[in-house]
Amino acid sequence: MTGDHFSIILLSTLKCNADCDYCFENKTSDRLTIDRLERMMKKVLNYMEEQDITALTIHWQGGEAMLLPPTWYQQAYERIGTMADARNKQVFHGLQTNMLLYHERWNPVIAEMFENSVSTSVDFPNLHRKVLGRGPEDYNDIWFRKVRQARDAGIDVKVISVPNQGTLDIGAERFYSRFVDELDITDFQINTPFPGGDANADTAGMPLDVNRLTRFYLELADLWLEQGYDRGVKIGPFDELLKSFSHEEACLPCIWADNCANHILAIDARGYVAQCDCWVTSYPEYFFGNIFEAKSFSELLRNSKARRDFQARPITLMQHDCIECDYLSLCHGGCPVRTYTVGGSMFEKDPYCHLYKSLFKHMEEAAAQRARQTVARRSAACACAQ
Amino acid sequence: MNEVVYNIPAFRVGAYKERPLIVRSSDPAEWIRSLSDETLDHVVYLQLLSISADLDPLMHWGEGVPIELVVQDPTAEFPLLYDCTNLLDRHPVRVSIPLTRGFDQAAKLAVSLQFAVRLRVTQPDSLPVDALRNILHFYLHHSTASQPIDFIHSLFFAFHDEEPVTLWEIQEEDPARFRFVDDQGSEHLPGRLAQTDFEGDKALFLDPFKKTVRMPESECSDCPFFQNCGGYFKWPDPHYRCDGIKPLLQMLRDAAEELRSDLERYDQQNTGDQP
Repeated sequence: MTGDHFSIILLSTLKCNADCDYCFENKTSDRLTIDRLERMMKKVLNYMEEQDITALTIHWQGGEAMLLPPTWYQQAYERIGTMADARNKQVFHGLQTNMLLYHERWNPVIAEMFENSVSTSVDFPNLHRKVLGRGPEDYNDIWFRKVRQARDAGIDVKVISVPNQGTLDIGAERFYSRFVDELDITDFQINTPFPGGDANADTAGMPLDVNRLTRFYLELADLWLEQGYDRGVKIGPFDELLKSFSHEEACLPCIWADNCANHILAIDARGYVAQCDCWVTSYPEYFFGNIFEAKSFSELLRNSKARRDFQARPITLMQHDCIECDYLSLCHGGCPVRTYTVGGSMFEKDPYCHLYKSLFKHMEEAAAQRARQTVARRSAACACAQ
Repeated sequence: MNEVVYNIPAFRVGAYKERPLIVRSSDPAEWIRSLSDETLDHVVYLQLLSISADLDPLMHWGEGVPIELVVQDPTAEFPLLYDCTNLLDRHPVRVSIPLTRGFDQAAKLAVSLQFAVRLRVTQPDSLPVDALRNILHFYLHHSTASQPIDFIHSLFFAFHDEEPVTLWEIQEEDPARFRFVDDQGSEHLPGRLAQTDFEGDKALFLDPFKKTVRMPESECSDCPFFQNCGGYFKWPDPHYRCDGIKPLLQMLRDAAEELRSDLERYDQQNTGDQP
């Protein structure tokens, strides 16, 4: 992992106040203490110095990250800032939370530490997200109330949504209108579902029917292009794909990184290090090691056989049909965890390959069409001016 | 007049101070040992002869110095390019690929990983023309191909700008501009010409060659691409027939002219200038 920047998903606690049916995490009561956070950060900053890396982004999540109080994050922010300043390193912070415990006491730390922005999750219809011991309706009620409060406080709330069978049944139009028109959610991302963790009745239906999910994605993309794009609505991954095909700088999701092992890592509250949050919470056999036990972070990464498997994945995939794909540069075989959780091996291409290819082609055509329209509009404007 | 660029082994750097250099090695650590900051100022690029070498030393040294990764066996080596992508964080990187079996896959992957590419033309009788046509099509028409693939890229712009740049220059094989110094310190003509015994002024080597291949009745004598080709594909076998190559050059020139014409029309429409 090199370059000027790298990212860590840091699970400050493995405890959660929600009980979502499809959650892949093995929840425990472990939580990170400030002292252990300092020890962890010392090793991370040593690594950054060794690798000449200037900046780090920490994506805080859980379990449920807000189960630790705002004062804890304030302390963490100050300690990390002091340690980073002493090494002339920059650290940025992001927060992924279910928002169920949000209240106004969070506002100062969200403003200072997280640049007044949080990311949360909601599905439509909500079939699987539940508050512990209660149903999806209760989850929705609390979530909407808390999000409204946060927005009223001026916080930018970004949303991740995972389509389910019900989403496919209601269709893209209803989904779009619910998010954008009714809930005024204008910055959200659609993630494909995968059956991570222990199998249960809800994960048994995953992956969703790829053809139906593809149709949903393409219809949603069209709705966004027709109704949302010019109004400033952002829907990932459509917005970044449109930028990419328009030859603008784009930030595509990690599932399409050339090799995610080069860009991101996850560390849980116990210090275990793995490729991302799903691996670190569900698959101990794929741990890279424990940062508290390792002599150094560099040594942990260098000696990890599991990490070498991740690094070898795209090399293996290129010996199959991915090399023939027109969209190789965008995808590189897709997401290891989606692949592993569906087929039991990460050395295959992503099970949503058909969806990705269809979406790439669709957005490529959309970008070309928009470019043609722009040229035509400019030419028409010039003709009128003459 | 441009200075001659010398391709030298890293351990001979001391003998070529203050000259423009391509410094080759199979071991990046050798560059770190042998190149001072002053010498680095004269390095045109570093040429790494093995892509399976340990690249870690380059992650924290010589930031911004261009590197060329030399692929020897495209079919066997191309997936290893994934292990080299971190280099792009610190260096401009080009991948040099011989036009042998599997070069098209290697070129496609290299471009997909955001490496620039240089295709090394080897023996004309083994030129894989169909694969070259595929890669030309990829370069011209795929929106995801956003890195240069030379010689295609530079030739495209030579056609577009109507510049008399030749393939010998593009491929760094013009003896007036490039020389190869072997491990024993002997100076040779560059690239494919390096095996040639030539006692005269090396800078003038191509002049008689071009005259020879352009003799009356020869294939080059009325070739519309000679200005930019200079008989490049006639080496080493001057009797090689360019029947497979010329349609590719025509395709490239058509695309360059189409782009030029589109841009001119766009400018006219937007400035009000009528032809």
